[in-house]
Amino acid sequence: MMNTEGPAGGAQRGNPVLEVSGVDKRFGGVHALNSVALSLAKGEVLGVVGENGAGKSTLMNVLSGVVLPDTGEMHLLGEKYSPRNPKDAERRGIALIHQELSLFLNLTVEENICIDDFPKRGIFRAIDRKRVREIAIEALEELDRELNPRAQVETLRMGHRQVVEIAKAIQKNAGVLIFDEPTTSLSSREKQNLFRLISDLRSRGKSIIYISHILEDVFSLCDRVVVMRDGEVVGDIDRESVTPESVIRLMVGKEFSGKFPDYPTDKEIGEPVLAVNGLCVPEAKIENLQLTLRRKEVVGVFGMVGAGRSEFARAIFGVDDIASGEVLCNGEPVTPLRPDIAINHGIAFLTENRRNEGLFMPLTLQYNLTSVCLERLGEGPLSVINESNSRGWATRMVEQISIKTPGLGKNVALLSGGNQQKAVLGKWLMQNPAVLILDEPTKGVDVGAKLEIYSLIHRIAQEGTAVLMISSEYEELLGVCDRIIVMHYGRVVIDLNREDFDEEAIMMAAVEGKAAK
Amino acid sequence: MAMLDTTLSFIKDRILIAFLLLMIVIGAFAAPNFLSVVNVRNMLLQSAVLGIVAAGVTFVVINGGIDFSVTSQMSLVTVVGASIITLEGGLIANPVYSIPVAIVVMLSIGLGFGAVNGIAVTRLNMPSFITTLATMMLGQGIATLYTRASTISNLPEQFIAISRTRIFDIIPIPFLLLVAVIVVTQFVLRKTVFGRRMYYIGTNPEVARISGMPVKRNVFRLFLISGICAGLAGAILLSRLASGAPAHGEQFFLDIIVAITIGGGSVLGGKGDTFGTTLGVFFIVIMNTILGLFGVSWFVINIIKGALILLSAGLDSVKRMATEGQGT
Repeated sequence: MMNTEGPAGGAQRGNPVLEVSGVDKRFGGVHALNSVALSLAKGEVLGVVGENGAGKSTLMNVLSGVVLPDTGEMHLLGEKYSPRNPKDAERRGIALIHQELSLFLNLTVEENICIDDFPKRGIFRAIDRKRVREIAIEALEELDRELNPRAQVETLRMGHRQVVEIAKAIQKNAGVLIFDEPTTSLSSREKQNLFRLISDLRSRGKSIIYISHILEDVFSLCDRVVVMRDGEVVGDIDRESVTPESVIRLMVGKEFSGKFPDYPTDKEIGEPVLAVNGLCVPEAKIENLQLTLRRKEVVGVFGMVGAGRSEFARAIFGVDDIASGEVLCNGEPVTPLRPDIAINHGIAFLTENRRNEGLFMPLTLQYNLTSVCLERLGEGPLSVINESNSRGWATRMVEQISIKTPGLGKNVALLSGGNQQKAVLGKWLMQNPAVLILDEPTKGVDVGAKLEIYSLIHRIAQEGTAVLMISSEYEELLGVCDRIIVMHYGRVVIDLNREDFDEEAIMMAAVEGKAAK
Repeated sequence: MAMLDTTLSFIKDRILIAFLLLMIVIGAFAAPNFLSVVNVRNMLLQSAVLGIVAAGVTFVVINGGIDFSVTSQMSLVTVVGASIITLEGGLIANPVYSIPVAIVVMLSIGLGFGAVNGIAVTRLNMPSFITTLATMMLGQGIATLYTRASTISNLPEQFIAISRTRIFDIIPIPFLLLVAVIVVTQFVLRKTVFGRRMYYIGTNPEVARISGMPVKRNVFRLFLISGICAGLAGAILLSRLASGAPAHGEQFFLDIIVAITIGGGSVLGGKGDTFGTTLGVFFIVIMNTILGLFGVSWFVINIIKGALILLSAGLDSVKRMATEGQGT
């Protein structure tokens, strides 16, 4: 065994259990991790914070063998560590407790704990039920004695499910446990329980990496906080010297790789078009939400993961059900709140998920562009499609928003990400919408296409459409919007006009859920 | 429509047509009576029944579903129709009244089944696969119970005449009905908003819903179309066989699936049309006839048909992976 109490190395924290240096990872043109270095001591709880897309999840995926780094070195207990897959990582003692728990709901607690490697017996290699029970009881012993190993996971509350997930990791002798946003779906009591458990694990010598955007939790739980931004580690602060302000200052100030089109100077925002009153969506914790959009106005919505941004947009368009509330377009109530009714009122919605909700992938560009306006292509009592209109309209749209394609007959699956996004935008613009809702309009498109999309948004707004733009990149909202609202757990925290835009205030509102000062 | 999709299916249709001609030539050389008037007339009559029922199912398949219940709908249609018009104690004695009434009832049976299937699929969110499998067994059971497993024959001449009357002594009336059904359905599918919408919904119902299309209403109507086609096919079958029996529809089960898959339909949805399906129907009927003339046994024929389904569905799947496979 290694001598972990050796005299050399980190004096105050003991020898590192895990050491990472120079880890680099690119996904296409995105530099997700840029020469990241990190160390973790025995019995230490390390917090990792950063805004959406800062590289936290990628780093954890590298540590747990889900993603292979391009370059870089990792050492675990002094030995070289290069996991090829999650199984590999587990064998070496690193376990990732997933954000979305990865349990089999239809199985029992004990079965889930042993699922990756059931003990077997006899010549038929049947599952050794007795041994399964023993392993489960032993693992649960130190975590939660109340939990019945024979209970079906489906019947458990979220907090208990998480305990099962942790037991699963402990049973496999994990020395390093990585928690990725573990409190998103926990009640406050369950959260306290989890924190007590994490402290217990620490005192038993386990090392823990804790990722969260709830700074308060990170500060109270962690011995050390690492701040990430743009795939780099930009700060490594001890518990004693950490403050919310210092961390937020490190989180913002990201260098934006693209430029923005000039903000229109002659802009005159018009009368209100869309009004959302008292919207409640319990699943997303959205309660009594209000919003007004005006003609020519571009309103940005920012918030961390789980803030309820997408759910808000989906509710307005009637994609998902709401508990109560109303949406008025040009003063008329949109009822019932359903996509087809919303469309009839002049609302359009580009969803975050282009592949499964935006485009008919195996169909052609022309079919996709004319999908929303299909009804209007029909003529006569039999609603016969006017093919020359269909072609004409589609051709005009391709020119208007300059979709690069060899022809209208091109299968949209074969277009680039940016052109696919324009195709989704195009199918909605065919309707000349009064309100355009964009959920992550620049997701998965390259820098050049992003710039084109920003210009397009300005143009659409200038022609009189009210635009609601959701993004997890606050820089692009700062660059494009007239107004930004920040959401935190289903609530609007602040609502800033362009002249009051302030990066730190926006980040503070998104992370802490309160307006600065 | 200068669309990639249609172009592809056009090429596929042409290959299928070339193949059909080839089979006819083979048949003509191999079996001397293959091109005889009687045989051709018979093949056209068989195509009419299979073609009409398969056209209805094609609608459901384009939409990404399946309707297995059509075969037992046909069986039930033949026994109920026969029980109304039979001269041996039929429900209505005078053929002048009994035949129109029977035709209305037979079509209504199809519509009724379609409505039940449609409600189960759209309101209860049941998969069409399991829904129609269940209604298939239901229909089969009711038909058997209704006749106490016997055959009802002795039908009035006027009704049998529907399938015996032919133009130029070779084209039976039912075949003209098939042509009418294909012309209408092909027009609806390829030229109208209703038809075009089906391809969108079949390709991706969620995108269709967010694009404002009435997904459920559309799906419901498809089962009605499938049902009414099965009703019509059952009525023709009754006329052709001059009897109603609870097992009359069963033989078509495999042939419907083979015809649709060969004709360019995909069980994954979003593809195919009734013209293609009809080519598939001709293919099946010619193949059945040639193999029958050669005296090939039914189980060998089944092996061939099974292989054909695997082959055409497999090709479709491979093609789909090639165009949209990345990232999944």
